[in-house]
Amino acid sequence: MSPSRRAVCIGAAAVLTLAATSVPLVFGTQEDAALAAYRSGRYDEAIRALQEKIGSGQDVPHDHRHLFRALFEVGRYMEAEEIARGFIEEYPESSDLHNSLGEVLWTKGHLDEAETAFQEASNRRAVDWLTAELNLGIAAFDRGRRTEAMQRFDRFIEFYNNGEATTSSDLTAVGIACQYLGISDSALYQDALKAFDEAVAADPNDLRPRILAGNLFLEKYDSGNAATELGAVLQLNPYHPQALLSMGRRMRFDGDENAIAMAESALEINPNLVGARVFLSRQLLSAERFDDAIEEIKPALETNPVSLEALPILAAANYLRGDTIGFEEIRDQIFSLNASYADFYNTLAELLVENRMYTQAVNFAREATMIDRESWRAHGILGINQLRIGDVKGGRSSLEISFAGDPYNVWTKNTLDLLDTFPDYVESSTRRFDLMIEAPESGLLSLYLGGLAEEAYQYFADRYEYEPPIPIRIEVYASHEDFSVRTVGLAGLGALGVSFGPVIALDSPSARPIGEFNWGSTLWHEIAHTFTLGITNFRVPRWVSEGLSVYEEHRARPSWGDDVSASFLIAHLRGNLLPVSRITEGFVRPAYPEQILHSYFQASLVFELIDRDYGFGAILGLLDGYKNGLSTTESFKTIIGSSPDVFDETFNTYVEELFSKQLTALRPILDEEANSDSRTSKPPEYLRKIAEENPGDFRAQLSYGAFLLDDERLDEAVPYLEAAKRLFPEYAEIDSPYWHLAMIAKKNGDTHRATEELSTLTAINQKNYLANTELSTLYEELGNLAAAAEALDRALYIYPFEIPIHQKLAGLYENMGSHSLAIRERKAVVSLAPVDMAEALYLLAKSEFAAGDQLAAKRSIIRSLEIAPGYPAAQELLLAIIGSGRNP
Amino acid sequence: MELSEVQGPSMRHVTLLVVTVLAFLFAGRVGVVEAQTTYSHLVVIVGAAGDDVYQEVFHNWAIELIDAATNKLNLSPAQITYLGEHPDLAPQRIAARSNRENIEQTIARLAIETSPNDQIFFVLIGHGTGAGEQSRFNIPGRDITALEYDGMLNLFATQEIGFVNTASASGDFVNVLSGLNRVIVTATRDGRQNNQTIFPRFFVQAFAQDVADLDKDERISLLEAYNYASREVKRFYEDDGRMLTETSQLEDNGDGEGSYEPLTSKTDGTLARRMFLGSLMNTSDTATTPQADDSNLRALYIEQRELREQIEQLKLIKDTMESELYAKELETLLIALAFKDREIRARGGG
Repeated sequence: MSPSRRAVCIGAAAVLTLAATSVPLVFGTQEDAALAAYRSGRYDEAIRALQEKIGSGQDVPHDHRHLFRALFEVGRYMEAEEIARGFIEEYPESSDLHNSLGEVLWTKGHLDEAETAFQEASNRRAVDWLTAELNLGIAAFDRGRRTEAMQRFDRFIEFYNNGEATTSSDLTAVGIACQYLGISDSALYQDALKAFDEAVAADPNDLRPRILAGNLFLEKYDSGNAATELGAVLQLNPYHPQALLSMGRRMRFDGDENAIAMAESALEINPNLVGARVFLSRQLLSAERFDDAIEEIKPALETNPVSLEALPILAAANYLRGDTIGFEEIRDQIFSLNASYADFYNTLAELLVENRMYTQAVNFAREATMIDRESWRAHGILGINQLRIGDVKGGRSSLEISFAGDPYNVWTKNTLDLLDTFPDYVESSTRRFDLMIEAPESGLLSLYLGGLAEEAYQYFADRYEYEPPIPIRIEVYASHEDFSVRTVGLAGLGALGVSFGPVIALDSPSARPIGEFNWGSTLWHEIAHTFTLGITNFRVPRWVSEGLSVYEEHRARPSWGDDVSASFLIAHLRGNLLPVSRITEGFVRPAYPEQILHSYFQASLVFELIDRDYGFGAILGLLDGYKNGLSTTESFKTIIGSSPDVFDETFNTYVEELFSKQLTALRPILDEEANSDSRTSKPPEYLRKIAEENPGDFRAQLSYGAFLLDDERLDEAVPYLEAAKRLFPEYAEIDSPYWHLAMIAKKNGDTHRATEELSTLTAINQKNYLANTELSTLYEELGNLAAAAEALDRALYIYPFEIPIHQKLAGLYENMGSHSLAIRERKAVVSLAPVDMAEALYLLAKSEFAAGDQLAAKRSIIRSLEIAPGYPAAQELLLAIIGSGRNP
Repeated sequence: MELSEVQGPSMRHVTLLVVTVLAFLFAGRVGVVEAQTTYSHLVVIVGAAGDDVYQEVFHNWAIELIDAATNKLNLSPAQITYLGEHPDLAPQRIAARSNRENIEQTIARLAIETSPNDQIFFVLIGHGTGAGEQSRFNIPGRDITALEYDGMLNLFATQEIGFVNTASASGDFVNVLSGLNRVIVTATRDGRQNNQTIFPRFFVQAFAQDVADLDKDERISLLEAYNYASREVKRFYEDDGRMLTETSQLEDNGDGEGSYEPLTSKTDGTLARRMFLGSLMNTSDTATTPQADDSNLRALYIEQRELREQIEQLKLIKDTMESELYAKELETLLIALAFKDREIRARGGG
């Protein structure tokens, strides 16, 4: 290897060479039992064996080193220190264990002593003197002596080129040095990986270089290769605390719900592992459990009171709790340790982002860039969050700086790639909103989106007595992957929309299959966030903001917002719903896949209950409390007069009362599961028997009704479907009784009945496109044009890209004399580039003329005739327009 | 614009610039006011199908097109020639077997029988193979190559030719057949697109159904038929969730380069826009000028045609003009045309 400053893709060649040595290793028979135990993670056994060997006087220096390493890895730092000191005292001429002593002292925060020990190891040219040299570099770096640190790291290239780095430890030290040098020259990251690769080759039993390679991959957002490296380590030693922690981080990156358990397993082996405490504490901060986060980080600071990893977490917790003095104390302590420690602000900014405080994150990230202009992480955080608060130009500029310094950051690269597509979007404005929509969809979506957004703003401004700063930027992405990159920098986000406060990003209705979501209610939901974030100065807990957004969806339109689902009620019956005080965990750390959706609905019910019992003023009071730094417990006590724990009981009672009938009708499902009595494979006769014997069992009624439908025994199915509907009226999924009963009624010629069923269905289910279009047709048959139009209008917020729907709706509005809406629909047709554009423009002109807008009508009819100059109807309309007595 | 000014067409507001440009564009044409009677002719050639299913499908498309030509477009049987693989399939309708000899004879006959200003449409339905000059439309017996078709079409010195090869691997016909007074349409981009095409289905539909008249002049130009078919092919593949395996093209400016979307490319489409499959046609550029006994009506038709032509010419120079000026001139011409058409309708014209 030649650690030259070449720029090579980090994930290519190096991965291949590492993979080539990733075959599980077998210890040679000559290895002693203690070492074998240590290497396979049987730490207690290894420690005992080594202690016995040393006690028997048959020891050699490397027994002491191994004992030290085993004690160190499991966090028995005092004992490890004693071993090192004891050896040095016993063998004063030996160069061994000075570096080890330095490492344990460093881990415990005795920085000066540690540096002295490293220097001693280096001076004595110990076997691990290169590691000691590296540690001196790291110490200088972490203590703010940046120039000295980089000079020390630079020397590792010479060490390598001179052939002085020969052992696995030496080569690992070279790799780490290259990683630090990578700050100034990203090509060195590649060399770092190569050095780790060579270290593995030098000693396949040395797991450290593999863990470091895994960490480096993860740092560069390459989760796949990180998983490969760390997985190989854990195959050899399933109890390696650092590997377990790194794997936990990797799992967290991938959204794996077991990430925390993995990190906790690291702590079981090494309860003093500072990094694991930091990881867990961060998760608690993300879940808005600030006090718990402080409790989690305390043991880390007891281990190392000056840990630059742990102190920023405590500072962030204090900040998020509104403890300004506590925050400033920690901040000052950190900068007294290292005046150029930009990662303090970086960590703080990241944690604020996880708590949706984007503007504050921008401010702190900017501070980081000022402290350390080579903190590419800081430029990246700054850029991403500038974009989130609407500063596109500034965001791009910051990201370009970040990318120039660290081109391996996938998040930065993806976001810059996305920004490159922005010229393909059309920007337009309403009074309070700037809209950015991809060009092919802009004409259509802006017809609806702007109006709806304005309606929402006015509604929320009146209701919350607050007006967020304008303009609010709404970006609509036809590609879900683009939306995902805009939101989290990577593909794969499951959400439909996101509000950063001043900026809202949404999936376009074209980004997902018809019926997967209602983009109107999604927009309403996100604008509600903008208000609740703004009114609390971004201090609103996630569950409160989500709950209010869903609650407001329900209030906006009868069908909007998800209604209670069978799975929610079953989760309630199983006791799986989180207590109110911990709902946020359901969003950020769901214990089961549906828990996120359950948490949304549960949170909305909390506010329904508060509104019912205490009035909307209480909700405003809660928000005001958050703004003033109160916690949920404090806010609840102040406004509602009870703690969240007490409120939990009230809430449970509320759910039991509200859904008493439905819960009873669903309870048999639990009994069935307990008896493993799946009904799906049962014969029809069994279904019939169960349905007749259990008239209060929702699923029994629905299942037998569905069977009869499949058997085309429609009239026989009706009573069972009716029963199912009665038992669980909110059930409006695709197989709901409403749909089937409507189709049966339609087939029987009972249009009134069919409209009733579909009308109820569409008032519950906000995503059923077909039910709305079908309902519209039925209403039209009944001559109820207004209701027919309403149904089609609802359909547009599910999927607005079908020309015939707009044409039909335009006709309905024209017949109703609703000129402005008719014009909107005619414009929608034109925006969808119909085959017969001349006719579409003619019909638009006709609508505009009927509405008295001669100027627009003339403009449209001229466009029509430009395409079809001899179009008789259009010609007559043109002549009518210019001869109408007005002067358009 | 005041109300009093819109009682009739007025060209007074046309600016000097536009007058100059249009005068340039119309040089040598505006004086042609006497319409010359001319006819369009349709030759449908169905090639070797390979199996019974394709044989039926190809034949049905041919019949649908011919029925549309006779029933909707009023072509007389004498103006239509159907050469098919199996004449016994419909002896009353298929004139002869679609082999080399009969194709050669048909083309030679039309070269003699048609008037200098006639428009002749060749529509080939079937399978194709090969590439470049050796591209072939598969017929019973020895195939005819694109190069050989080019030689045959050279017999038409002045007539306008619409050559529509809807077969697979037809794309290279464009380059080989490209020439003056010719519109070449192919169903594919080149010889490598050799899957069976769906293009003919929609091309026929354009004439048989009321779906393609986008300029509302109650006629289907070859350009409109092409655009309709091209668009529907794409929709067909999209709806079917399949990758597009045929990319149609049209060439009519003689440069040998086809356009996939002539409306967008603006390099092709001018000749195709004025080729219509109909019983009685006028060869002058964009307008059909039905013959009328009423001399006043005939004069109106001529004025109508001139206005339409001016509109088309104005549209051609749109990109070179200030948008406001363009809009103003367009409006003036459209109003004039609207009045003219109204007058024609009032006199019983159409």
